[in-house]
Amino acid sequence: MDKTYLLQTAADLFPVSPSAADEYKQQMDKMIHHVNEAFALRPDTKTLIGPSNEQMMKDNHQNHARFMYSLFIHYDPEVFVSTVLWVFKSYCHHGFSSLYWAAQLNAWVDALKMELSDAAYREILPYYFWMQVNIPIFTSLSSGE
Amino acid sequence: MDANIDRQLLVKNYLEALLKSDKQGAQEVILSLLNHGESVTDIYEHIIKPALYRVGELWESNIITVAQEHIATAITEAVMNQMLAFMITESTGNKTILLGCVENEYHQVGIKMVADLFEAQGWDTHFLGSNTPLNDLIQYAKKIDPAVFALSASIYFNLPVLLSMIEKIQNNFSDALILVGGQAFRHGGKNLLGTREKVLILHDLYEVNQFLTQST
Repeated sequence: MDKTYLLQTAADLFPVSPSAADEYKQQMDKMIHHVNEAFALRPDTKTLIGPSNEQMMKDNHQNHARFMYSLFIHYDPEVFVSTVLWVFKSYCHHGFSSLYWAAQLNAWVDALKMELSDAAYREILPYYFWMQVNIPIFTSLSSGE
Repeated sequence: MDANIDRQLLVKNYLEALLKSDKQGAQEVILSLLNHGESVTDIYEHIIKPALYRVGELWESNIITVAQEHIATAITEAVMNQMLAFMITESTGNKTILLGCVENEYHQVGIKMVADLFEAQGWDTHFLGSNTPLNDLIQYAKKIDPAVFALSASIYFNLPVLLSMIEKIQNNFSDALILVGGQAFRHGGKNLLGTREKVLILHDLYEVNQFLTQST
């Protein structure tokens, strides 16, 4: 499976409604806080992100939320796939473990569940599920570039 | 740019100077091109832009640090300021443009290049730089009443902020034209803007020059 597979499957994701996108935006700061807190409480965070990378991790969580909101208001599968690949590659080069992505996405799903309405959660969850199931492909493609 | 010029070699030399924090070396690469009669637009597009893109890639690969990236940007901005001396014309005084990056956008070199081209054509140019708070931009614009705004977004996730800025500018300056550009538009940002009136996407500095030619 390669980038073409990612693009094809990403194109199957159903567009998020404006109301769900707006809810995501309204709850963004709270969700970022939850994700940061989840990593603050984990005993293995330093192993996952590498030494001296705490601020870079927090920046990533903030950028992640802003990026996802951009996608929700105008979905473009090419942008989605290219950006996630770029993030995997850049953060891996800076010492982040491939295991960090699973931990991060799990924390985001928990945060979505806590802060979004059921309707918005159901619309947005498939995007996170898609990233979760494709972590091995992203890891493989980004390390091979 | 002269076909006999080895662009790749010049980009490499300029990049090496940036990575060694060698301001004089960087200046020499650019000055030799200016003395050879190359245009500022060509130098921006074919030497400085690819060199800075490479700097970004080197950071992504953890080969250079954020500090080195910042030094490279600072040296480039100093070099660009020197280049202005080769291109300045007298202000016509009757055309005003306000330029800046959207809020939370810190990559200002591209929009600075655009500002330089406008200034060289005699426009009354007001360059606000990176991370311009929207309310401050509006307040400032009310003092100078620009005919044109130019906004830059390098990062895709800043496009929603750009849309908000466009909306607020149009609410306050209904006659103004808004130029937008930046790397964010490499990935479908054009569709995001839709068919808004009086909003024009410029993809590179040659399109900026084309706009300037048509505006005279």
